[in-house]
Amino acid sequence: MSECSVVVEDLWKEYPGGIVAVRGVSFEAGRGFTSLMGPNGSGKTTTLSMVAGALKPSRGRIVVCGLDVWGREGVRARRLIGFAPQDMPFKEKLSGMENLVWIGMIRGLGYVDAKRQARRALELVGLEAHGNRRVVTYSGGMRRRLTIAACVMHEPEVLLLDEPGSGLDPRAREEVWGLIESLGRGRIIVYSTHISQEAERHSDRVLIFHSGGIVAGGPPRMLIERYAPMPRIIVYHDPGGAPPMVDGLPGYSRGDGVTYYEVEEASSALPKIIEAFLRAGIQVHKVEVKRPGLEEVYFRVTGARLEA
Amino acid sequence: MPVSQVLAEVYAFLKSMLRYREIAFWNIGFPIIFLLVLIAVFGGEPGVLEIDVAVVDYDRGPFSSVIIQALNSTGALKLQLSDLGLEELRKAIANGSLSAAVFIGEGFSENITQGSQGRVLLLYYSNPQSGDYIASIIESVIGEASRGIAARIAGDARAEILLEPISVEGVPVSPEILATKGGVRTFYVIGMIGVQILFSGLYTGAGIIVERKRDGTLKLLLSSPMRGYTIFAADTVTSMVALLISATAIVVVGRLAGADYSLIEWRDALAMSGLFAVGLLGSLGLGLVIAPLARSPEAVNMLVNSIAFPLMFLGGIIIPAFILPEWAQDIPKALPLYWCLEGVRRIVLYNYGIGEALGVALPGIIASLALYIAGAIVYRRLLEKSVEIV
Ligand SMILES: Nc1ncnc2c1ncn2[C@@H]1O[C@H](COP(=O)(O)OP(=O)(O)O)[C@@H](O)[C@H]1O
Ligand SMILES: [Mg+2]
Repeated sequence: MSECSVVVEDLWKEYPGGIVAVRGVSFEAGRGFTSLMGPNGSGKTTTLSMVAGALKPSRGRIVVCGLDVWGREGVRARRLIGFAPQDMPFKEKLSGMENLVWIGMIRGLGYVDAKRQARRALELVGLEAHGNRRVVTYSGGMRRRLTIAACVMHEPEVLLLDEPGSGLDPRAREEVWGLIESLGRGRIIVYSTHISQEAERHSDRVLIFHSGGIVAGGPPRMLIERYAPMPRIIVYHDPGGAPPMVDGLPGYSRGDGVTYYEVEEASSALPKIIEAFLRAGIQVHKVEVKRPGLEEVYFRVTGARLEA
Repeated sequence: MPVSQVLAEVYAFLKSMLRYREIAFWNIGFPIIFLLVLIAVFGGEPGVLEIDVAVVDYDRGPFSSVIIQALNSTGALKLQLSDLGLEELRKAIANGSLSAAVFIGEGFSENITQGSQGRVLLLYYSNPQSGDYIASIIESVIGEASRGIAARIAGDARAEILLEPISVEGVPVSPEILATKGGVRTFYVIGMIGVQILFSGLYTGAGIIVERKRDGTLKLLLSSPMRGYTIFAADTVTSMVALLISATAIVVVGRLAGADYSLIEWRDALAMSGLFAVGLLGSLGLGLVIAPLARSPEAVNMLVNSIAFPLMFLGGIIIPAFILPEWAQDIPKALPLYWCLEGVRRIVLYNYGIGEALGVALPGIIASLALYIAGAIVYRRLLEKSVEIV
């Protein structure tokens, strides 16, 4: 295994009808976890589909381990890719095992290999006891685990996962991420998410998507350091009345009784803020101290909220 | 061509057949039920509804027209003037489309005028229930006419007198298998296989991209190491497998319901399978050619049904082409599948040799293959377009 990476150069996608879903995206993803983080409609799925070889770019180049996905080596490049669309098209009435064999064969494995790899993949994702059950009886978490199994059947270098953690309850999400972390070791993982905590916890590198372009990128710690280093104090209070200034700092109000302040240091700022509210005669219900995260970075960079 | 991806579709089809009742129904249940209904309703002893008699008059003399008038005057016979040759007449009678034929050769009137006998050939369907009876009616009508002619000539001093100026030579034509109960049922067995070919080919062809787009497998396939024609090949092979299963069920149930396969030798079976397979290719091709008209699985449904239902009845598939109304007579001829089925029928029902049968089917074979190639081209265009939006 020589050094391998996913290189995306000036990628554009204009859908028929004139919608430009991706506008000039470039990045390089090496081994480890790269997340595409952005709100719905920011172009993550479109980008991943193009990298996976399922959607033709209007312009730009995608090279996977030296092979051009949309060029002559396209077939070889696709052998290196394991792609999980947000909804894997399982055949509901077939068993998990049968679905894996089918997908394995689509990915180019012979029947015997597909069967062996399916058994192995089921074990890897902890579904060996449920392999003979129909997929329609699976829970959301089991389905997602089966999706991941389907992606690793042919032992690809690159895993492309579209929203692997969304739509799951917190426990199932934990489980799925545990799996992705362990299976992703040594591989190139590129995934999309609209959940900032997910990107923060599970990325070596985050690419922030906004309106079809990347507006910032880097390791999560670095992005936070650079764009939103200061902790926030969030005050939940009676609506009405302008939030007071504290030490010359304005509060950012959402207008519905929630105001937050960006401060240098939470412990010294907290009493001052409460005092200011009392003095202004606004009743405070609750105060939260929040360490800044990618959510704040997104807001700072784009001026928009990540999770609307 | 990556074989495993082609086989992936076959694998999923076979597994789905076990799990999805609707798939098993359309491939096995439906054709069996339909076949049994056809056999129950139409599969009895082929009745002679009308006494269709063809008259071939190469004489065009005064005495031949006397005979024709006489036959016409009975009112019991439905006469049609024809210029078929003897062999063609024999075939038309053997397959039940004619009850009898009266053949009057050249020089018939001349012979009578010169005092020798005029000879008439009476080809008739030698079926003990109706054929012999029809022959005797015709014979007696001609006998009557003969005596009339004798009387007329007797009044003419120049001519010699012959008591029976006309002799009738009866030529019994033994019924071919289609004119038997088992044969009619076999006709429906073949027709039912044809129906499966028509529907499954059109459905598969017209839905090749659209169905996969809807259920998301297109994305999966495109992101896999497949080549341009992989899906096309996969669907071709899968529909062949589906047809094999359907046809086996139809043939077995047909046998149990009294279809007659006695004329089939194993070499014939091979040729027939080939004709069915080519017919399927044509049907797939036709489906692909119309595929651009259907942008959703629902539209595929509507489009395919609106084409396949009328063709099932008017395309010479489950209704014999020769009993279609006049205005519909040419519809089957425009359908390649009809010719392929016709080739099969010639072997099974009319005991043609393989070479002869393939000769009959040739236009259908060529047109089917051409459609399949056209379908391949349309498929590539559809695939290229589908990569633009997923
Ligand atoms: N098939 C399509 N045709 C037209 N526009 C599309 C299509 N698919 C996605 N889009 C548009 O492209 C933009 C990006 O969508 P998408 O890549 O799905 O975003 P995300 O995955 O980040 O939510 C959206 O504005 C969406 O409406
Ligand atoms: Mg998306």
